[in-house]
Formats: sequence, structure tokens, C-alpha cells
Amino acid sequence: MKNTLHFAVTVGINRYPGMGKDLTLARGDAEAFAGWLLDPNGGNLPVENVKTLVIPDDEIPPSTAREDARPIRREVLNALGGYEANVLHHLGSHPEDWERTRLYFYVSGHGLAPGPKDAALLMADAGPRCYGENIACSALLKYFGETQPYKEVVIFADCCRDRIPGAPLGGVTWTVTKRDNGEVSTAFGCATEYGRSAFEAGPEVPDNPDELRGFYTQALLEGLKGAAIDTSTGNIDSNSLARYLRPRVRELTEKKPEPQKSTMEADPSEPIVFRSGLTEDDVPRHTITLKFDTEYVGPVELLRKGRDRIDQLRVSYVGQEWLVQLAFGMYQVVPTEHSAHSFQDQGRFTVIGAPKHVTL
Amino acid sequence: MSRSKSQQVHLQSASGPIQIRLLDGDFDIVASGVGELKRNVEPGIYMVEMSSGIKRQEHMITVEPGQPYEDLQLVLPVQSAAPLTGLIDSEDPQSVALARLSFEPLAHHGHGARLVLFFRNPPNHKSDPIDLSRIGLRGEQLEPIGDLSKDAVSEGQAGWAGYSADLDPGGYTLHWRDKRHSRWAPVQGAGRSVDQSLWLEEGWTTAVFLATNPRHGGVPRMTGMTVHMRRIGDFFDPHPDETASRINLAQELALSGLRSGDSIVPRDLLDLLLGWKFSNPMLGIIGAHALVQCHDPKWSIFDEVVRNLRKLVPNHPDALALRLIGKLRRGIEAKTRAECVCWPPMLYDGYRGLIDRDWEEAGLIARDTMADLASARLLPQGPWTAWSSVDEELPDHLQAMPQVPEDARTLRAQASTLLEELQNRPRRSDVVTGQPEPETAPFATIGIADLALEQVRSFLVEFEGRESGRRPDFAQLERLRLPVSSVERALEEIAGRERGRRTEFAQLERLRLPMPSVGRALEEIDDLEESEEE
Repeated sequence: MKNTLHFAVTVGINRYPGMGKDLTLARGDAEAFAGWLLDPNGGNLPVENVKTLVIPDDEIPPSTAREDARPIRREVLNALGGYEANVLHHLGSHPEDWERTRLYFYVSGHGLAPGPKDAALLMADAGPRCYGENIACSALLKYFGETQPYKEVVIFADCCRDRIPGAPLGGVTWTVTKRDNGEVSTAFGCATEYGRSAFEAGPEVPDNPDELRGFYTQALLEGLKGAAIDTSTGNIDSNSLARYLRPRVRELTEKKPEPQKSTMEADPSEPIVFRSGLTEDDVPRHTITLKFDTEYVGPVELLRKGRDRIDQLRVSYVGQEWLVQLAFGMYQVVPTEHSAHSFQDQGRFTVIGAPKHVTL
Repeated sequence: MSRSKSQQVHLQSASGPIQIRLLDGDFDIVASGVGELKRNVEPGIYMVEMSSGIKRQEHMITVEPGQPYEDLQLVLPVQSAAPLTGLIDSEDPQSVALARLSFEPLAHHGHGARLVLFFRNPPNHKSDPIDLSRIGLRGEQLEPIGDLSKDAVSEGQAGWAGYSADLDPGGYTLHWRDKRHSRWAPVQGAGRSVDQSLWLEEGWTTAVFLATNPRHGGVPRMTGMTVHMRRIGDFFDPHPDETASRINLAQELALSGLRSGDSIVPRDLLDLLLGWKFSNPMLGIIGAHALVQCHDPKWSIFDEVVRNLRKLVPNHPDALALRLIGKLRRGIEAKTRAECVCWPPMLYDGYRGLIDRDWEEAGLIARDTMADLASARLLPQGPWTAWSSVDEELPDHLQAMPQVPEDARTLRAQASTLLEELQNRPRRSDVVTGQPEPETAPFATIGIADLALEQVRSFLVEFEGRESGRRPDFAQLERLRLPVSSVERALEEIAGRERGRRTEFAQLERLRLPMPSVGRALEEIDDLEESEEE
């Protein structure tokens, strides 16, 4: 059954005529996130509840005047306002449904951060004299926190968080009608920390450009599609997603001058559940090649978290390789004979979001 | 391996109050602390993550059944441009050179305050040359003071260059020429001149430390700059001492936090802020900013720090900015009894706080001073205050003012009404001191291009286009994040008033026209006005 009371606006902006610096993947990121929202195994939203604000690159050629670029603030606010009106109309006759309401707001593009707790998407008509053309996520959270059309508000911002002095906050211009439906839960994920940049994958990943993502969005979609399962609950929630995103985004950006440190502002005691009823079978696994490079010959055990045995092998020669399929987490290989023997870093290694080779 | 009862993990930093996190095998954070953590956990493998600002390191550990785990020597080298105790080996020749420079100034351009500028190569590029040709020191009137590339001393292979001088207390700038700055600059990749605020307080040595960039020919970098203060006559850490080491470390870590927006305030810093023995006001300034960044600031400590700063550095704009930020954050409306501010605070957050408060206490920022004029050119360089130099020609596209709507009279009328209302608001000078604002301000005669005018005009044009017939309110103008005085000046110009001020010859001089031509033009304008009056 579709989540008919979940609504989403996704925005991706590649072309910034007034900025002199375009992006290549932001539009595709917004579309990919919308794809997850519509997926029955993802957000499971009905198509009419998802508004994707993107403009094909060729509709904004380099000669476009800044003020003619799109999407702009008004389009975003119109989309959000439209859904707000829908949900309020529904709640008028079914107030008990408020518990089932949720808004997703996903943005990808250039961004700024007026303060440490904010991230604002610069709209296509932003420019050095017009940084006020932005949508500030903190302003949205504040507005929806006060007006309470939704029980849950989820925001993901895959954009830089540069400090821009003098940039007015792109707030919500609607009249605030305060409501008291109950406690609003929020999850606010940012690609990077305050004052830092967020990156998109460069041409070094050539296979299929359409599948390239901004690093944060790549990790976000991996997590939501299964990599962030909390196997103890069978859920993917704001806690397990934050747990996955932190090391994964860092790993993806480790070659950048400043690796990204993703952030998630959410109440750990009231996590927002994105998917539930998942099992061990849904957990993505990666091929890990373990190479035994020390003199040890004999049986070894592979331990998850260093304590739960998940596999064993007899090492017969130096240089032997062992291929195992492992999920996100920390592991250790220990010798079961000659316990004094130690592998490199005591046989400990991590599996984050990709296949890897580990020399022991 | 079977499950067994939990064991204590005790981790402690040997690198000061860094943040320590313990993550379990699922990357769940099971414990965190600043400088130290203790937690009982199940045996297994864990990750220890250490961070300070943007610097981060991690390693895995194994907690064995039946054995507590202890590591009391966690090391995360603090990256600092300052060769001070706790940040560098005290026997390092740079440390000795710094002590000498701070004690024996190389130049005397005034008296009452002392400045040390210290430039360091990174450890793996120690013997590279240091290029000081693109950095200079400027005074309150933006006049160059000496020539750093000639006046600074250095020591062959030791990887440092330094300069020190006795100067009059007050505002100065570190002037960066042809600086490749933020990608948000109006012209991508272009070099621009940038000024950075320095304040020298009477009786104190202010030492500015900068690392050099070996990839760009050894020019100093603004990123990573740090500032420490000592009383004049006190050495900069000639002898290692545990307290000095803790103070230096705490300050650097708090500064890292301001750079990254990390709001964690280590207990060590709180202790030091309360018992800092008045040795380094910059610790108080940076520490207080770190406190304010927290979700739930410890206001009693903040207030004590601010009180101490008022006694120690009474004229420092950063000290006043902190007082105002404290009031702003707590919604305290009482007016501030203090002189108005003429020079931008050294810390970016302080300057922004000062501007915000200026809208509640109009007149805090003195009109036509650097504190007023730099605001429209502020650069996003945090944590320090830097602005695009006011005496630099603006790029063409910024000189071109936004298009005025067909009905320019509407714009003028709008500006005129706003101006009248603005000028009718109570001024801080009327309320607090009973004194009028200073009539002559240092920059009244410098014919600078004023970006504030452009911002206010753009705002009015766009507002008129969007909400024709309505009038913007002050809350909307406030969002421009400009001081009241900047907005007022801009409105005057748009409204076509000049507040009775006569054009100065210095301004006419910038037209670069021969004097007879100017004279002829003025006579013609005069004739024209007379005939219009008739």
C-alpha cells in the first residue's frame, strides 16, 4: 500500500548562469532520489505526491540571463505550498491521520550556510549579488515545526555549506498559522559540515555518466536501498542511516582536499523510519578479498565485530587469498592455532560500502 | 569467541581536549568525550575516532574478554601555525626566534602596543623560501607601514620569517595583495586585494601566526592563521610549562571548532576560561565564541569571561562584540554603555554579531568608519574578519549599478520614507551617552565605491518589482546584514540627499581630471541650478 500521506519535493540544479560555475550531477541526483521515493521498495510514495524540480541542461544555455534561470524559489515554495494545502485539507476531515504524514525535501546544487546549523540551496537565479535567492533548510524546518502539517519532516541537502556574508536567508514567505498536533520529528541530513564543500564524482568514474552521483547522494541512496539496515530491528531509520553515511561519505571523498563529514540532526531516541521489515537477506554484501601475507599456516576464524564467528578457513600457504561476502561493519580474522600469531593490525578491517582487498 | 561480561574502556588524550569517540562494530557511537572517555562495553573490536576541527584520525582496538582496555596517550597532532609550547617542541629554533621577536621589536612606529607577525614553513618544506611580497601591514587610514618583504627577518634553513614592531594601539590591517580567494568571489579565480582586521590593544603584544603555502611559492596562507596575545614584556613561552601548553592547545582547538562550526566546548577549556590567569585575552575571546556556539551555552562562564575581557582589553572591538552577542542571544534589550565601534572585530562571528546588534542599538557602529564600510565587502573567510579592500577598483560588473525601474521617482520616494523613519528611530548615542555621533570620521574623505549602496539599491529595486506599492520594513532591510549607518548612507544617496555634507576635494581628485576642467564644470552646474531656480 502506498504511503499516500507522504509528500516530497526534490530539487536539483546544474545550471547557474549568474554564478559562472555549473554542476554536472545535481539534476540527476534529484531525479535519482525521486526514483527511490517512488520505488515500492523505497519511499513507496504515489507519483502525484512527488514533485521533482529539475530543468534539462540544454534549456539553460550559457547565454541565459541570471534572472531567467530556473528552477527558482517561487517554484519550490509553490510545490511545498501545494502539498501543504493537500495535507491540511485531508487532515481537516481525518485529523487522526496526522501521525502518518511526512514531508521529504531533497536538494542538490550549490549551497551556502548562514550559520552552523543551516544549509541553504542556492537557486538557479542566484549569483554573487543575489545570494538571497536560496531556500534555507532551517527556515523550512522552523516553519513546518510551527505550522505542523506533517508529523515528520525529512530534509537531505547535498550542497556546499559555504559561509557567505550578507546572504539573506531564503525563508518561507507564508503566513505562519501555528498548530499543536503533537511533536514533530525531524531529520536533517547535510552532505558536509559548516563552512565546507560538498563534491560530486569527477570523470574518473567513467562507466556510465548517468549513474554518477554527488558523493553524498550516492551514499544516501546506498543507505536507503539497504546498506543502512539496522539488523537488530529490520529498519532503515535516521539513526542507522547516519551511522552508514558518516564513514561512507568520508570514504568516498577521502582523496579530496578536505574529505566530507556528513551530518545528521535528528533525535536518536525518536528515529524516523524509512523502511521496515527487512531481513539479513536484504543487507547488501561486498566481495572482500583477504590475502594472508604472513608466515601463518593453520585454521583461522572470521569474526564480525571481533566476537561473532561467521566463517572459517585453513590457511595453507603464504599469499593465499580468501574471498568472502561481507556487509557494512567491522571484522577481524584471528588464528585459532598458535594464538600468539598476529596478522597485520591484528587482523582487523572495516567493510564500508564497496569491495576491497585486505592484506593480513 | 563467546560473549562475556563488559569491560571498561578508558581513553585519554595526550593532545589536549580533542574529541574522542568510540564506535562499535556497526559504527554506532557508543561513547564520546572530550579529552577523555570511560565506558563499559562488550568485548569485541571498536574504532577510536579522534578529531579536532577538521583534523581527524581513527584506529581500531580490541577489547578482550576479562581485560579492561586503557590508552591514556592518544595523540592527535594539533596543526597550528604558532610555534608555541604544546603545539611544537619547545627546543625548536622557531620557538626561540619568536620569543626574541616578541621581546625585542625590530621597528618602532609608535608606542603602547606591540605586533609580532610570524610566518612558518610546513615541517616538510622547512628550507623553502618564504615570499612576503604580497602581504603587508596597513594602519588605520590604510597607509602602508614599512615593507614586510624587506623589514622581516628570517633564519636560513629554519623555515621561518618574522617581524615585530611597537605601534600605537588601534586598528590595523594585514593587507593581502593579489590574493586568490574564495570561489565565491565575483570574478572566479581572479586575484584581489584583501584586508584583514587586526586590533592592537594598549599594553599587549598581539602575535599573528601564519603558515606558508609551498605549492604557491611560499606565500603565507590565511587559512589556519592564529593569533595569541601576551602582555608587553612577557616572552612567548620561552620555558615549557604545563599551563601554557594547556592554554595554547585549548585555544587552538577552540579556534578549530570555530572554523568548522563544531560546537563542542571541552571541559578543559571551561576550566581554563575561568582560571586563565589573564595571560592571553585571545583565549578568552575565542573561548567565549566557542561557548556561544553551543546549543546550551554556560552563560555564567561566558559573562565572567566577558567581564574579564572588559578589564583586560577594554578597547578591543572583539570584547565589545562578545558583550553584544551575549545580549542578542539572550534577548536582553538594555542598551550597552560603551563607545561606538570604529574598527571591525578580528573575529568574523564577532563582526556579524556587532552588525546584528546595531539594528537594536542603532549607532553602535560609527558611520563612515572602517567598521561601517568593511561590512558590505566582507569575505566568507571565517573565522577571521577579512574584506575586499576598500581602496581597490571594483570589477566592472559590480561598478554597474542595478537597473533602476522606469519610475525612478518611486525608488527615491521609497528611500526617502525609509530614511526618514530610520532617522527618527532612537539612536544609541541619544539614549546611552547623550553625546552625538562623531561628526568627522576617518573615512569620510575617502571616495570609495560603496557596495552597501549597491546592495540597498538592488534590494529596493527587487522589492518594488515584486511587491509594487508596498513598503519594506526594517526587518527586511536588517536581513541585508549591513550596519544601520551603511543602510542610512545608501538611502540618503538613493533619496538624493547628502546630509548637508560637502563633496571633498579628495573625492573630486579621484575623477582624474585637470583642475581647470573641474572648475569649469562646477561653474556650469552652478549656472544651471540658478537658471532652474529662476
